[in-house]
Amino acid sequence: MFITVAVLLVAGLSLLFRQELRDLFGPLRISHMELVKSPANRLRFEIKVNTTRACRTQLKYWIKGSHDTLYSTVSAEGKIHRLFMSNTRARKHYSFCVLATNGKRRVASKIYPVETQPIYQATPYFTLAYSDPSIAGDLAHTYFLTQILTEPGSVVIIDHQGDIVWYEAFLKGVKVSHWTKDRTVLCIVGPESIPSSGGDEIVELGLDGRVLLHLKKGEGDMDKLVHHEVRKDRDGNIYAMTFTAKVADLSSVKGLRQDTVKGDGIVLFNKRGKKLWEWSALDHLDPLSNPNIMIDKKDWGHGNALFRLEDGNFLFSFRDLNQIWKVAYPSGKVLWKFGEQGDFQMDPNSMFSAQHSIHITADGHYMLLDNGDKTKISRALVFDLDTVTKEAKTLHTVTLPAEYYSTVKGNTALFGKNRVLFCLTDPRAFLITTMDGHVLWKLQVGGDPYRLEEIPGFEITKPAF
Amino acid sequence: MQLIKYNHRNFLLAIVALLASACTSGLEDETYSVYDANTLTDPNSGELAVRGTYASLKDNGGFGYYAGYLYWLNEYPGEVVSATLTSRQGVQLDQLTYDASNSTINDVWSSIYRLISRANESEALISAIDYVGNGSSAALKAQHLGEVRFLRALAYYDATSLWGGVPLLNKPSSESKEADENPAITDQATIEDFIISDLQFAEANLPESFEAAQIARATSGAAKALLGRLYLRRMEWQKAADKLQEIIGKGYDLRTRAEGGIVSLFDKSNRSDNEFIFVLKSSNESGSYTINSNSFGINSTPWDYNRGWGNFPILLNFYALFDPTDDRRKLLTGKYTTIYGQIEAVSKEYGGEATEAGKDTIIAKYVYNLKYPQAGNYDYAGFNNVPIIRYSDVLMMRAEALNELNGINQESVDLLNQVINRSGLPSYSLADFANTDALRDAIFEERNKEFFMEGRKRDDLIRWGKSASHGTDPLIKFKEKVVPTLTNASSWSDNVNYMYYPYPQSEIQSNTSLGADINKGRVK
Repeated sequence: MFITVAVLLVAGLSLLFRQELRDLFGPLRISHMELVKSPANRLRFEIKVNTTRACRTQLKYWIKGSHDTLYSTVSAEGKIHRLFMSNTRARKHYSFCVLATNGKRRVASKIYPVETQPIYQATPYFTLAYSDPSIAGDLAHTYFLTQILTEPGSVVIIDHQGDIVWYEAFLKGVKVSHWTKDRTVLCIVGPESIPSSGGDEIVELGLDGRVLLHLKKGEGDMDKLVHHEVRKDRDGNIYAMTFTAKVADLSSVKGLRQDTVKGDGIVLFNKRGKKLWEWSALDHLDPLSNPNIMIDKKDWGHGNALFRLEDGNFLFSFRDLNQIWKVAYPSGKVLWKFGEQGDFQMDPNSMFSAQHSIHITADGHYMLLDNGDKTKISRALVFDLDTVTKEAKTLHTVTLPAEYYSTVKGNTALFGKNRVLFCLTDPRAFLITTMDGHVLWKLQVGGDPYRLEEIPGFEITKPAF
Repeated sequence: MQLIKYNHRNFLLAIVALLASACTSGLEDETYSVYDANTLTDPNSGELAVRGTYASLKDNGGFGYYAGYLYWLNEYPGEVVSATLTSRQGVQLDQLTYDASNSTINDVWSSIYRLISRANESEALISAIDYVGNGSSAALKAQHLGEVRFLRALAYYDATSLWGGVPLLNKPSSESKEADENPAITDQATIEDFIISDLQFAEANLPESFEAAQIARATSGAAKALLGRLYLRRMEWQKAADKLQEIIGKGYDLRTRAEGGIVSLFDKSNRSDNEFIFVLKSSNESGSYTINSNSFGINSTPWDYNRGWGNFPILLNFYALFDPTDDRRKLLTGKYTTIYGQIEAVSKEYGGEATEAGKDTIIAKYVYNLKYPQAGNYDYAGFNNVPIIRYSDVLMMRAEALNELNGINQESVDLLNQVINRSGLPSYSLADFANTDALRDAIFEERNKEFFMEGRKRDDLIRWGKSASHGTDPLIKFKEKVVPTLTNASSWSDNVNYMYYPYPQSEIQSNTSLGADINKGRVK
């Protein structure tokens, strides 16, 4: 009798309070999901998730019929979650579900469909011209970040086939972009009227489209236009190249007594945009020592790349001087100059001109793109610099065929240990080559590429729990 | 007690079992909803879409569409501009030996459809945005729609000029069905109806002008002028004359001789002028080539002039057409000092100054246009915006329409005189023309001298032929002018209708609606 009553009681209770009872006392359950579509971005979708218990969630998604599964980042512990599909291709049918865990239990939602639409914003487009079978394995899960400088601008992430998988559009142009160790995109944004890849805004974006940092010239500590370079250092501080100016007496060379010389500098901001330090190259150059100063004074040196070293000092590339400088932090002292008329003994065949993209490789060597203004041949150069004996040893010279000569812009980096990635502006090409300059992979770009970066950690292919 | 205890335990187990089974198998599905933010979008998204559509005009970084390749298709086949031997695609167009795989033809097709798709997406997006409810205005929304529809009309105008019938894509991808993946060819008249409705919307909703910073955005005048151009192409003379009249005296005029005349119109210091009705915006900022400039500057002049590439050499016969007092001749390199210090000049035979070649004198083999000054050595950025429609074209189009409509008439002669007087030439009088044909020929000869390297050549030759033959032989003038410039006269074939280019190979391969014989009669 008691058993009958008890069972009836339970059945009755479960009928009356089934959901609430379970959600109150029961284990973890995903109670509601909402797919948010925004016309502002055709590839990115937000999925809002409510769970009955505090837990972490993760999105799992895949192109319908494909076995390549992708995951989102994991949401913070809580009952309300926002997840993002942020690695999708246009005009594809995707399926997705949400996974949730509170440590004890792992549950999954049903599977839902979502369709991506074509991108209407002005993004560049990319055509895979060639991909050597030998590189297929290494390219499979590789993604790249690049940008479009035109108004309206955009910053885009592409896969190895040139398909755009993530983008953000801007009314102004995106002059340069950089993938940070925090899985964010840092860029300089500005109108076309600012030359030299320059801009009046620094923007840091999450892959969910959220603006994490937004510095504007004239607001807060940003008092100068920035150009060519914006990056994060080891501590998460942000550094960029600036336009600087200095008044100088040029009357002895037919200039004004109070003439203005324009050049480049460095600015360092903390994570919240407070200026920590700045430096001007003009404090280290004597205008009267330059016989062409009346011509050069508009843009003396033309800085075009900046890289902060582990020791806190900076490398600074001057296109028109054909030199790389090492600038000490915080003293600002120029420690050495490398290149034409520099401090290092070097192989004359390795002399570079109008170079870009100075940086340090994983092995601690100095790498740059030699645009080759003097030779009309572009190449990547890797050096070992002995900064005590002031000797430069050329480790690699990766010479490109003449058709890939780029007068301006561009960058290069190692791709793996024994291949090289190039972004070449004039021929509008992205390349991966062997160390002999043999082209293994080529994307043709419709638009103006300034820089291309391989972006490790973008794709998540494994569930977190 | 034991019994109760036992039963109590059973009771607990029953609850646990019920809940446990619910979690593993009978779990209630989560509720699910889709939230579409379309109607809540910021009007700035509309502005972004509009600017993105304009950007398609300079597709393909510095060379594409209005930044270059469209002009290859419109100028190379004519009798004025030749091609350099190093440009295989250009030589094919110049010598009429192109086929469906010509990369320039493919490139322009892709650019046009890229613009059209972008315009379609933009139109749907802007339509869905609540401008008024989000702090903006209905007028701005109508303007944004007018701008994208103007640009789409321009793209379809070009597509129908180049190919006749083309696929009509007029909706965003969200509304496209599987059948739309392989669109069939829509006849030209239907496309033109669509262009007209876009332009009528644009002329009604676009402002008459923009502030200086917004130069190169479409105005109602631009929409009217393009509509006039289309009516003219359709030989709808009355409509053309009426539409063009609506622009005359409405804030546009010819750059006068007092202001420096036509030479100064194309001077690098003249970045904008109210003679330009619609242009492709270009920048002279160092390094803007491939970003926001055009390929005309670097391509127009030869190496020994200012290290240009000389890819649009102009035949000396064209130079010889000009009266020496005609200011427009100054927009050609008749005589200049080369970067090596020599004098290069056109010979007397062609109306130039040179008598014979010498140590320091070179007889020019070609002349080059100076309408697109470049920023400087090795700097490919162009100073000048690329003119797409200018006021002198409006005047001459109305003169032409009235002549076709009414025969020789004083207003047509007056309109023509406005244009040539500005370049220092004396007026024509009505008595100079025996009949409609004579005035028409004069108008086209003057158009030739007025608009060289402005992308009008091909349209003009075909329209001239249509009028001269009363529609029976549109190629009569094209053949008369072009065949003498062919290296090999047998390149011409009477079996090819040069009014239309072949559909590009890339489209034929990807669009199953286009049959194998689609290019019959379009290539040799």
